[in-house]
Amino acid sequence: MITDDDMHDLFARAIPDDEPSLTDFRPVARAEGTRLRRRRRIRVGAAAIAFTAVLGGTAVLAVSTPWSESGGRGSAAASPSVDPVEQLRAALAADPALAGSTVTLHQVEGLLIYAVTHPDGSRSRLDVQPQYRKPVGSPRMSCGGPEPRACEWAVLSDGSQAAVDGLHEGGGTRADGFKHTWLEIVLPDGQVIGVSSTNVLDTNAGFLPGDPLPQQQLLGLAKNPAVLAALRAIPYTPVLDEPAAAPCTRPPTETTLPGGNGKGWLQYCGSLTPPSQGAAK
Amino acid sequence: MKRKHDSEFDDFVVGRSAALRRTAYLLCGDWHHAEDLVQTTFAQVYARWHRVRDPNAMNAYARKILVRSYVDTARKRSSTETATGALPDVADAGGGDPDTRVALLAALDRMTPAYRAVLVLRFWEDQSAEQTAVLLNKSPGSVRSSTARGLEQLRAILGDQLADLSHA
Repeated sequence: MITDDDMHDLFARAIPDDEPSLTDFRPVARAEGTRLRRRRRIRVGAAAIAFTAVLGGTAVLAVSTPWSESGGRGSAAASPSVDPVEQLRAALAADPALAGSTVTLHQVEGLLIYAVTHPDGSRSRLDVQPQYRKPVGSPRMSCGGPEPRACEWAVLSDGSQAAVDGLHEGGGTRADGFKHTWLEIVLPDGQVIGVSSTNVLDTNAGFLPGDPLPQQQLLGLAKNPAVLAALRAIPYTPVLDEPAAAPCTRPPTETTLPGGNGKGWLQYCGSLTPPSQGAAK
Repeated sequence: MKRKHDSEFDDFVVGRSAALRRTAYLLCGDWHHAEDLVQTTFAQVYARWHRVRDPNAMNAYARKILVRSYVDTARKRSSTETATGALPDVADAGGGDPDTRVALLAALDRMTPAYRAVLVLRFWEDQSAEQTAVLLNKSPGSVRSSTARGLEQLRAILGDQLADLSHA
């Protein structure tokens, strides 16, 4: 019989006695926390402006014309907001592949998450992780996953490299029903933008009625200049958990990134150095 | 006012860093990743600090952010991480009981992140099922069943070792 106390002791013994010295978390916490707070204020301000605009528009419509000449989906793009999070939402909503879909901002803190509701009522989650990795030497890009497998990649018009991949077990589904596709864009300056789509919006709320955006659709988003520009405008955070030097585990002949579109093994490896805090946008 | 808030926040960070990092370590089994989780947590706490009326309430908020960040990143990592060829630092030379540590961390690493989070909150942080439910946005019943399933999973991985380790 194992008691709660036994388990507590067990966990206590799992922690080494000689813990590494503690980092001073305060400077980064203050800088990042201020940025989060500012972003939240911008969002609230943008929402207030949009709400006011909608109210004003409704009032004008009530007393003048019965129809507006502008389409409903264009209204988001016409918003006076300059918030990059909103700009990306508008760019995603305007992407031809998402025609008829509604894209809403679901979460800003931590991961930047958008919820996509498709015309048939199905839903997908799309999250964006702008990060910064300064590649040293000749890094190569990974499609992810501990096991080697093929992924699809493309070189974009601005010289960025984009790769898409997804869970392959059972045709893109994990045994527990979790589905996942992802896109990774490596910009010419070394910034890496991760875009991921899943069928889980909230960790504890079960699966969404629908599938993640397909790989080709994600690649299409990367190839859309408006979406790419909006992705690049999202403030990034330095990657702190990236191994300082990730060894290449696949032969160079397979992992070298050629200069055109195609399929092949891609792996982001080599030495990666996070930039200094001052480099963050 | 801002200076007062910053000073209180500093006290909070100094007072909570070590404990939160230990919890994070039990969640992820890696000191570097644990520090990232704690850093993310403190940034989010700072973003809300100006609204704090009772700094003690921030303990629960920090715990909630930490665990949710872990579950989110673990879910993502489980399908995107690449093999590095390097072993995690579970076997590093530390004091205490290296065999227990290695065995338990290796077993925890194989667990479902959500179950691992529940076990760490329940047995390491000594949170009740109700408190854990609030932190994870679940029902207490769901937490109880997750606890039972988590222990079952741990037993399935460790076999008889679990009883041996817990009584060692």
